[in-house]
This record gives sequence, C-alpha cells and structure tokens, in this order.
Amino acid sequence: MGQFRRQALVAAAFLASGFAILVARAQPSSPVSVELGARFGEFVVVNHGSAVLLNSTVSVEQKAGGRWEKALVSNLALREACAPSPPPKCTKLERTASLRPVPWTGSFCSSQCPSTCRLDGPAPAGTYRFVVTTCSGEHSYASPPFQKP
Amino acid sequence: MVISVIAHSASMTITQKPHVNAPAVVGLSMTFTSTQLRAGGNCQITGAAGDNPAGWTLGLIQLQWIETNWGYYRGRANTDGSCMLQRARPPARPTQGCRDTLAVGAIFVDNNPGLDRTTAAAGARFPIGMTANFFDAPSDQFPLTRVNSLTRQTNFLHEAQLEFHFCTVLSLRNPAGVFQHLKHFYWNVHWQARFEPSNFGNLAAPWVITRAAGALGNKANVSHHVADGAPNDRRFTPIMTAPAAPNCNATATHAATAPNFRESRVWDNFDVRR
Repeated sequence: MGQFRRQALVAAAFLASGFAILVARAQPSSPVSVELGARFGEFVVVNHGSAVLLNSTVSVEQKAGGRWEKALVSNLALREACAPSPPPKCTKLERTASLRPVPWTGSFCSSQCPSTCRLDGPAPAGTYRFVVTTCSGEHSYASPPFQKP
Repeated sequence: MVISVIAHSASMTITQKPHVNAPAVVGLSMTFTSTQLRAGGNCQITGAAGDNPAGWTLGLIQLQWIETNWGYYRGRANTDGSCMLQRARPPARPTQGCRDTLAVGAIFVDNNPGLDRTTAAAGARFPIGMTANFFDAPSDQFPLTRVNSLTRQTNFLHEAQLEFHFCTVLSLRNPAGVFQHLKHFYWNVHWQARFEPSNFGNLAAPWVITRAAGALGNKANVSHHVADGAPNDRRFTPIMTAPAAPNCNATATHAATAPNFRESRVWDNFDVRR
C-alpha cells in the first residue's frame, strides 16, 4: 500500500511537472512582443514577463533586397501621448503591462508628435517593421512586417 | 576624354512652391507647419569609350543659412512674469549654418530614397541621363506653457517668430568625391504670430491666434529663378560638402530641447536679437 502511495505521488509529480512544461510552452517565446494595430502606424508593446526597462526610442526598419535596414525615422518613441518635452531615455513596462504609443505618421521626422524638422517627408511605400530594444541594448523585439502604401 | 557634364544639359525646376500653414494648437504644442516645396534636377554626363561611369552621382545638397526662432511667454497677470526662449543663438544654436540631411554626416539630401539621386552603373552607355527629385516641408513647435522659475507661475506662449532660409543645390559627385555644383535656388519659410488662450484654465479650448508682421511675416518664398553653378555666399559655402558640417535637424532639435532663456518677474520686453 505504502509503495503504491509512493508510486502515485511520483506519478502525480511527473504529471505536475509535465503540466508545468506545457504551461511554460504556452507562454510566448519572447518576454516582450510588438503587435500591430488595426490602422497604419498603430502598434502595442506587450510585456509577457516581469517588469522590463525599454529604450524609449522606437526604430523603424524597411525591408530592402530581402534584408531589414534601418529607416531614417526619428522622433518615434514609446509615449502614449504627445508632450512638448522629449520622453525619458528609458521607459519601464511593468509585469504583464502593455503600452500603446502614439502611432507612426509615416513621415521621417514629424513621425509621431509635433517635432522640430528642417528636412522631412513621407517614407516611401514598402514593407516596414517596428523594433523596440531593451534599455541595455541587449534584446530587441520586432513587430510583424506591415505595408506602407 | 574624361567623364563630364554635357554642356547646357543640367536643369533644375521648382515644380511646387511651399506655403506656410497658420500656427495651430496640437496637444500641448503650438505647431508651425508648411506644405511641401518640390523640385527636380537633371543632367547628362558623357565620356569616351572605355571610361567607367560607375559611382558618378547626381544629387541635391541643402544648406540652411539663417534661423530665427524665439518664443515669448507671459503669465496671465503682470506679476506672473514673462520669459523669452531663444533657440537661434549660441549656446542653444552654436552656428547658423547647417547641412540638411536625415542622416547626420550625409552630404546629399536623403529623404526621398530611390528618387533623390542617380548613381551611374558600371558599363552604362554614354550619354547617361541622371535625375534627382526633392521635396521638403519644414516644421517646428513651441510648448504652449512654461513655468517661470522666478514667480513659479505658468507663463503662456504669447508671441513667436520662426524663419528658416535654405539654399538647395543640384550637384554632381564623381567617384573621387569631388563635387561639381550645377544649379541652385533659395527658399524660405516665415511665421510670426501672437497667441492668447481663450481659457487659461483649459489649454484645449481654442486659442486666439493673430498673425503678425504683415505680408512677409507668414509666408514661404522661393527665388524667382534657378541660378547656374555654385552659390558663392561665404556664410554657408564652407559647409556645403565639409564632412563635419552641423546637421540641421539635430542642431534645431538640440536648440528646441535646450533653448537659451531669460525670465522676468513682470511682463517685460526682451531683445529678440539676443
């Protein structure tokens, strides 16, 4: 009886660990994801893990010749509202929190909020993606590609 | 025979003149925007059989050589004080002249990828037609309010003047990095206006915006003709192709982020030239 109970406990522990593995596998592979919104320029940064410090600057990359190249987009940041002062260098995203930045306008310089631009203009049509980086620069998270008409 | 521009083949045309929009409130900023200036340039190069045209590039260089950029703030009452933000003088803006590219250190304008220049390919047959297409729509903004550190009261944007003057040059660069400036024209955008919130307690309520300084105060201007060759104004010709020329977007952004400011405990007059 005692041996049966021990075997049952071992089996339960095995099942429990298997369940834990399944749960772990159900989690997204990346702790941070950049998801696209319904309209052009909209995106959401979702934190699936513990609190993370992200670089406030959002990069835009364009696919050219099968490779992703950094587009010369400036002034795009992890900010949910426009403010006259520039955003801080880093933005903290709390555990399981999400952030919905002001959308990209599609322009190079006046890309999000009223900006100081001497040379500006719309980025050309093509395939783009947003890239968010941790403040340390150690990890980067890219959105799915999207089309700019 | 060396590769050269075919005589009289270079031309530059302004296809769309810019306009300045009336200053407008967007969020917590007063914005100064314009519609696009558009221009196109072209030329033909030729050479002898066996000459390699690879790397010869026709592009555009834009220099900004004048910047006026100040904002005057004052409180609701005289005792709330006033402030003057000056972005066009040192140390906020170390020099007036700068080269206008998106990438810091670039020489050719780079905001119209694929169309803003033509680079000849190896083996291309002479004569080679080259084009460069340009557009630009400068803009700027001032915060609607600023806290006066002397009175600790909110001061509101009361007047601002912005002027950006440019020279745009059609230029041919050979593979050795030597430039031949073919054509150029001048253009500028001006705004000057006075502002008053209709509701000091609600900045989102409409502001009274009164354009100032007559016909020239709020206007975009383009030179009447495109001139041949290189500009000869010594205020900006030294930075036309200098590797370390200041970048216009970076220079202006720095000045907007860290302007020179003067404050007073009352509604004061400030010398806008300083």
